[in-house]
Amino acid sequence: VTVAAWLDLADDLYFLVYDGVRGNPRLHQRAVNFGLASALIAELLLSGWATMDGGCLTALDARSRAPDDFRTAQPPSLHPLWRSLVGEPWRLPVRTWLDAYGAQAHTVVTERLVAGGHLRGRRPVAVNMNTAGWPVARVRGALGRCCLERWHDVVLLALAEAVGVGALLLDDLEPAALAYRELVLHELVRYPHFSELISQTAAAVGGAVLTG
Amino acid sequence: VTTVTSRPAEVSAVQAALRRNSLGVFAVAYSLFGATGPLLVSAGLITTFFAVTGLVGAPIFFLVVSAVLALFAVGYVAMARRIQNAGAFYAFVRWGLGRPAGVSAAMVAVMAYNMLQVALYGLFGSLVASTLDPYVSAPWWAWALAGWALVAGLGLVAAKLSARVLAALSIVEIAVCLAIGSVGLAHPAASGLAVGTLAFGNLVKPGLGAAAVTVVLGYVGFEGAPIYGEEARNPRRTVLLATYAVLATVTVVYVLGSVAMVSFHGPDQIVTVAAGQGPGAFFGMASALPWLANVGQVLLITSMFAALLAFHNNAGRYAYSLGRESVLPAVFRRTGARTGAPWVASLAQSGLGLVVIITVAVLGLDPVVQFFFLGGTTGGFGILVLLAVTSVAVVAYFARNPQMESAWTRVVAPSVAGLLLIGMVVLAVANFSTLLGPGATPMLAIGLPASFLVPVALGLARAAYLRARRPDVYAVIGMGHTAVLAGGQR
Repeated sequence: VTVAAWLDLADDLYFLVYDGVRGNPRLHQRAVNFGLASALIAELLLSGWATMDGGCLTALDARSRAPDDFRTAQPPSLHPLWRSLVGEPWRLPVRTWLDAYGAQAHTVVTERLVAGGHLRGRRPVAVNMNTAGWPVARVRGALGRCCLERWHDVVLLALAEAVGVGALLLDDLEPAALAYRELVLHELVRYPHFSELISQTAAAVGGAVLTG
Repeated sequence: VTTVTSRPAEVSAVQAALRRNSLGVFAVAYSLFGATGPLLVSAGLITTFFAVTGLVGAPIFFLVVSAVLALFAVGYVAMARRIQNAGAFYAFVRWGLGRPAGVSAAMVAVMAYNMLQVALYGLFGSLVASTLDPYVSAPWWAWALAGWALVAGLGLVAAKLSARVLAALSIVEIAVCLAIGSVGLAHPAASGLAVGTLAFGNLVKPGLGAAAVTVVLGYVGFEGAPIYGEEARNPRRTVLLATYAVLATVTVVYVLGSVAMVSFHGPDQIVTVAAGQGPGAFFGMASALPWLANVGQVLLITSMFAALLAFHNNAGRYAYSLGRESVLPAVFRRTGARTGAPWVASLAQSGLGLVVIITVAVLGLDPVVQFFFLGGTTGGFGILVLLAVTSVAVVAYFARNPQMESAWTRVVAPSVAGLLLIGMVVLAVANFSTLLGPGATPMLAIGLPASFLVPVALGLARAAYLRARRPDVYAVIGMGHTAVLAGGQR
């Protein structure tokens, strides 16, 4: 696997929540939107261009703290969420960002994938089935080997669980892999920023169940 | 580490998006009307009130109960802003009175909402059978099963769409109720307009507790506003105003309808007419305008269907909330990926309904007296108990967390509401045989209200089990969706 084969986190999540062949969503629209907004936030957190302070999302230059697989030379202004974040006069809770940015997140992630040559058509379908299938294959393989090494995939797994697509794509794994999945998700509690983000994402999706 | 700063925009993208997505007072209130079933209450419940209690003072009962519920809403909505899982009584009880009480309240709520929903199939089947008898002859249980199949299907696939359609129908129902009530008021019996039914003296009569429970049943559904809190335009005001808008609107409809019925038939005849004709006592007011009565009778069926679907969704969401926290088996938290509907909870509720309808049909029980009356009034009693306990929980919670709330919100309003609701519970227990109407026996009059001790005991036992065996689950009871990674979810 070359580095170039790695899509951004939200792009990977897109191929988890959409069937790349037919372009059909695997989840209801609000869950998809919350998940993609959360993935864009996670991209900023992972790359060190934002942090969470008291449950609020805050723009920050903390690239030195970013995990190796997320250190990037790209300026943050290229990130679709970053400009909204620094343009916001107040620090807002992450849940507010999820509520406000869901629909827009869906648009920007789709546009990013189209621009990158990964999606095409009015009802977007994957250009390359291998690219579309790679995120789930990679996560399943890593869980099967009990070896989820990259932060990217840990957060991707947690987001998939939070929005509900994890149960669709991963529940048929071997018992050892399922136990490892539980362990990984439980360990995420030790990282309050991501724990908060994932919890709030699951809360938003669950809230959508209650309000219909 | 360098903090990035920038010049604030005049209207931020987030503010604009939130404004676009958020719900206003009307949108939240609109979502609740479908659950209140205004025509079902006017034609079905108010006539039942007259027939069962033998009292003519329904209007003053509606005014007083709506005032009590308005007081209840002050603390209820204020607390809903602070806790997760808003809209679920058990979460309020957990945060106010502790986890064991919370789990017991959860079990009581599951039983009460399920009893209300399932019992309504009896009335639905019976009324559809009698309304359509000139055209299609079929037993009540066949119509009940048809309604059941539709509710079961919609509960699984299209809850939001169906809720919107039924909410729209309920707005038409309100218009029809007001029109029929106005016609009735315009044609009073020889005794004239029954303004005496609004006198407080009507409250002090035998059967007071039965009357109170019947009237509370008319408001079930109003308590759902807090679940829209996170989507509300102004979390502090929108939910409270929507709750008051629903309370005020349906109270006007119910008071007008009940005064009109007493005026039209006369205070000395209304009890007999209501007992003999049921909903006909309401639609009879429009005898000079047959088309209006016909429209009303068709809408009564849709109103009942709306209530069936709303109660089905309420019961399903309750089971979903509890499954999500593993208070009920975790399988209840499963949702349809494409629809977002809690399908396991929905199927379980539908399964219960099917078993009860078939059992009642096989035993040859009367669908109204022995099915709807017994189940509906007992479920309504359970909701009344939950309202009373929740009031106490609100006072207890704000005693420990008084920040930023006035004494009126955290002490006065919920305390007065709690005392009045507890008084209504006591009176309801004392009058339960009256409440059950013609199907009452001493054993049922004691056994049905006492049956709620079973879920209370089950709740206490479940809480003790979770505390001893699954402390991670026990720790997050009442935390709602934010408990996802706290251990109880997986």
